[in-house]
Order: sequence, then C-alpha cells, then structure tokens
Amino acid sequence: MNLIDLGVVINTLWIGLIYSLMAIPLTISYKVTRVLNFAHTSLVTVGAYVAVILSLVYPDFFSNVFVALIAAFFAGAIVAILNHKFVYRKLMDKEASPVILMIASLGSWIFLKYLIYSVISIVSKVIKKDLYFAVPAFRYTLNLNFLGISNPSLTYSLILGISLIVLTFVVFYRTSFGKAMRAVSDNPQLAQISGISDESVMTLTWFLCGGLAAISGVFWAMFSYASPEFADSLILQVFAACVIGGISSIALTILGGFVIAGAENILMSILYNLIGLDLSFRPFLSFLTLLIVILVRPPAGAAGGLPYRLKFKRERKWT
Amino acid sequence: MDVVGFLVSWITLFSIYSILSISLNLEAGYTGISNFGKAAFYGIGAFFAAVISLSAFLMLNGLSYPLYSLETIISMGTLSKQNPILSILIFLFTVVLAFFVSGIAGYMVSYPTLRVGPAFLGITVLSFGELLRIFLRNFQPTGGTYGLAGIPHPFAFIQDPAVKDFMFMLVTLVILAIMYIFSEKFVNSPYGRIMKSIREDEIASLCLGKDVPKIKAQVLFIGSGMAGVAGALLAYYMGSINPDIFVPSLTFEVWAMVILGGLANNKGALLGAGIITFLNRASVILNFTFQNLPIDVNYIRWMIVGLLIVASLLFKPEGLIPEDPKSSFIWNFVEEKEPISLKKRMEETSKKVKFYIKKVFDWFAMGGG
Repeated sequence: MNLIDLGVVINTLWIGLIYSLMAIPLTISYKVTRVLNFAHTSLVTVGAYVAVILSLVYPDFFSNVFVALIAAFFAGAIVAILNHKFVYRKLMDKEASPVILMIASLGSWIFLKYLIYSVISIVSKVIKKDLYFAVPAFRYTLNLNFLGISNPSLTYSLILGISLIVLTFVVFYRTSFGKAMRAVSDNPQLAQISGISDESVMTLTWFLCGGLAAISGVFWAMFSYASPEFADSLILQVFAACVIGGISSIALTILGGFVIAGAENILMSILYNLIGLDLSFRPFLSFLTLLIVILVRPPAGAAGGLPYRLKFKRERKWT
Repeated sequence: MDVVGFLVSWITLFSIYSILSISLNLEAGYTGISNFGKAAFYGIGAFFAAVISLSAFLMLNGLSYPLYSLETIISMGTLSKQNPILSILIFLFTVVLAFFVSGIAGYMVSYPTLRVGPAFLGITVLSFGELLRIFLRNFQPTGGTYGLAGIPHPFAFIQDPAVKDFMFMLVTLVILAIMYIFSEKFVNSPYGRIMKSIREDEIASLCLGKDVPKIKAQVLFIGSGMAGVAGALLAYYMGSINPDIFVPSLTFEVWAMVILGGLANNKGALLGAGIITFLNRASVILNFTFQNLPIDVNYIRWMIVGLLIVASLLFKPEGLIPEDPKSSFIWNFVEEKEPISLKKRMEETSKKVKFYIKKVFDWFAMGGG
C-alpha cells in the first residue's frame, strides 16, 4: 500500500518553508521588542495584496517577481513601523506589561484586518475585478525540474525562500546590526548603556520583520491565491511553529515550521490511507503537535511560564 | 423604524454579550488570564444546544432525519409549537448543560497551557478556537459551512413574534441577572481575593500556598461555562447558527467591551457591552438603510472596535469605570471609623483656633520677626 506519494512530500517541503518564513519574523520581533505581535497575519495579507493588486493594475512593470517582492517588502515594513510608532512605542513609554502589549497587538490586528477588507472592496470596485480570491499575474522566466515536478512558482518560491532564510541568518548573526538586535533582546538596559539606541534598533527590526512577513504572503499568493482570510487561517500553524522554537530560537522555529507541515501533510496522508481519517481533522494534528510540544518540552524561551517569570520581570524595564 | 423592535433586539443581544464580558472579566480582569479563545467556548455552547435540542425533538417524535436537512427545518416549524412545556424544559436543560460542556472544554484546554505563561495560553486558546471553527466548517453532520438551522424557539407556541421576542428578552435578562449577582458575590469572596492576588503577583500567591494553576483552571471552567450559556442563548435567539459566527474577531469584540468598560469591574463590563452591542445593532440598521455603500458598514464597525481597544489602552487604561479597590465588603469593616460626636469635633476646632491665635500673638510679641 502506498502511504505517501512524492507530491505530498514536495508539498510538505514547500509549505514548511512558507510556515518558517512566516514564523521567523514573529520570533525575531518578539525576541527584540517583547511584543507578541498578533497583527503579524495582517502584515502577511498586506504583502500578498500589494503584490497582487500591483501586478493586476500595472502588469508591464510589476509582473516581474522581484519588483513585486520589493514593493510588498516596503509596504509590509511601512505598516509594521507605523504600528510600532503609534501603538507599541507609546505603550512601552508608559511601561506597559507584555500582556498589555499583546492585547494592543490584538486591537491593531482587528483594525488592520478590516482596513484591508475595506481597501480591497473599494479597489475591486474600481478595477472591476474580484479580489477576494485573487491570483497574481506574474511572468516566470525560470523553470527548473524539481524532483519530477516542474512548476515555475514552486521553483521561484523555493529558491527565493531558502535564500531569504540564509540572508536572515547572515543579518542576525554576522552583521553589526544583528549584534545590536541580539544585545537589545538580551538586555535592553545594558545595550542602551553601551550606546545602542533601542528605539532605532526596534524600528529597524520592525522594518525587517514587516518586510519578511509581507514577502511570505507573496509566496503564498504565488502558489495558491490571496484572500483576506488566508493568513488568519494559518495563525495556528505559524504560532505553533514559533512555540516549538520557544519564540526565541530562529533555527528551532524553522524546524517547527517543517514539523508542523509534516504533521499536516505526511501524517495526515498516512492516517488517511491507513484508517481513513477524515480530512477535516487536519488542523487537529497541528494542534496536537502544539500541545505535545508544550507538555513534553515546555518552552524555556523568553515567554516561559512561572519559573521564568522572575527573570523576565527583572529584564523588562524600559527606559 | 420600529423602535420597540430595535430596543428588544438590542437588549437581548446586550444580555448575551454581557454574560460573555462578565465571564471574560472574571478571567482577564480579576485573575489575569489572557483568554483569547472566548469565541471557541461560545461556539461550543451554541453548537451543543443546537445539536441537543434538534436531536431531542427528532427523537421524541420518532423521526430520523439528519440534523441538517430541509425536512428537519420544516418539521421543527410544527413540532416546536405543539408542546410548550416540553420546549421550555428542553431549553432550560440545554442551557444548564451547555454551562458544563463548555466549562469542561475550557478546563481541558487550560490544563497543558496554564503552566507556561500568559503568551502561550493566549496563543493556544486562540488557535483552539480557529481549529474548532475550521473543523466545523468541514464537518458534514453539523451542516458544514451552512451550520444548523431550525433550532426550536422555546416560546414558539406564542403566535405574535413581538411577544415571543419580548419573552425571550426577559429570559435572557433573568439569566444575565443571575450571572451578574453570582460573579459579584464570587469576586468578593475569599476565593475572589485569591484570584486578585494571582493577578497581582503569581509568585507571591504561590509562596502563600495557593495552587495557582488549579485556581486558574477553575476560573477558566466558570468563565468558559458562562460563555457556553451565552452561546446556547444565541443559538435559540438566532434560530440558526454557522461556524463563521465564531471568528476570532468576536473574541476581540468582547475584549473591547471589557477594556473599554474597565478591567476588574462588573459594572464596566456591562457598560462596555452596552456600547459595543449598540454599535452592532446600529451597523445592522445602517447596512439595511444604505444599500449601495462602497464599503460594508460592518468593516467600519470592526475597525472602530480595534481602534477602541488600542485607544483605551493608550489613553484610559483603567477604563470608563475603573476598578474600585474597596468594592469588596470586607473593606467596610477595615476602613470604618468611630463616628465623631459634635461636641468632640467642636472641642477640636476650638483647640486649633486657640493654637493659631496664640501663634499670631507670639509673632507680634517677637517684634514681627
């Protein structure tokens, strides 16, 4: 009996890559700014829709994938920075607790989500195209034969995604800016004494994280379609990937993305072929993975529970 | 415009949402649990009540239609009017049982997560809600994306729809009153003071010998149970439910009520619920009167809800009605002073006046320096 086929494996690889690309900015922004950003999914949607709308309205210029990616990067980055300046920074100045910041991010999530909805409904009336299930009009010049499957959008997103992850690692661990980010994440006060402005580090972090989140949205739109709900329906998987990494380690977050994708696709396929499990149980598998991780290996990262709270309280004193 | 109909529907919705906001206030305001999955337990209560009442009616009448089918909806229309006592009994039974079913769900979800900090609890409960919603969308026995319809109204035997809605409004108000009085008594009991101590400092209450995860789980049981009751009421009020009612945005609507009204204050929860449900009803009416708007009015309503959360955190973090530290009645005994008699007060005043007069004379006696 054939439990899994090659298509499922390739799907797992691709979806795992997308999950890790979506989860990495969340981890980095939590590490550096101590905000568990629920508005993250809105950033993903912003990126996807900026690329889709631009490629539909200006097909000659933005049908190039790279140009569209850069546009989406800047759109996501600007939204993230504005969100930081108007909400998180002001709350941090009032010495708000991390829980308050988390609730504020929920508020900005719901605001951004319905702002995107209204913008989409206006734009789709103006350009007279249905944007609720929109596919970007990219032209692909490169097409590799990957394990017997030749799909240009798959090729593009695999190559670009892997290079982006490598780039993130280089920025975080090999540049002076990455060093500053790690310093602020370890101890903001000590970093400030050493002459690192935590405000500018945080702004740059939001710039990077917003941009990365937006790009992951474009990848998703390239392979399937963009809808205002797609990022919100992935929230369980993305947060589960982060929890596997303890919201602190980038490498473990990437592993988490692939674990969740494997549980959803390979395990689902095996269970479906073995015992005929209904496909509607798919999200239960990722939730189960999340629960098992929390029970077996309680996250020891910055977001840890009672034993870690004291340390956390001492560190979290904003100037 | 039908003013009475508007008021009745507003007050019904207000009572249902107030139960939700009071339950969230117990969790978030008094105990400091960041529960972002209110919609999940609300939905569990609603679906439970719908499934039980539909299948009870079908079983008692010896019918074997599937739960979601045209035959069920048509037969419910006649069956629910036949026996008033039976439909009211089933209504009360499911509302009480919804409390326990949702409560147990809340208790079980909380078990693995309470030990790992507020952020993880928030994530897990939020994803639990999304998981349930996506599962119910694909689960055919409860109708998939269409949900369940034809839920028998407890007062279906009353012919006039206005009277029927009014009776239902009275029932929801009574249940709200029970919940309100219960939570007021609850938070002012010794147990409520443990809850507040956990909110203020978990480590300290742990050191005082309080089993923090257990108490948090018990509070989640009660809060989720209340949300389940609200969900059951919603199912009977709307008559049909589908999984897409219980989106995460609904949770944030409840959060907006609690934050706007004031955390750790049940009156604030009521006020917030009043404001937000008024917005909700007003947007329905606006949507109905202005058909050709470029934007759905609901989008603007949700944006206002998001803005209200952020703005009240930024500018009025204590809420419209702040927490009263002396609300618990034990303070009346601690702070109470002996009443001062008039004679004593006059003696004190004359003593003070004499003291100042003496001071002025002394000043003159020293030669003004």
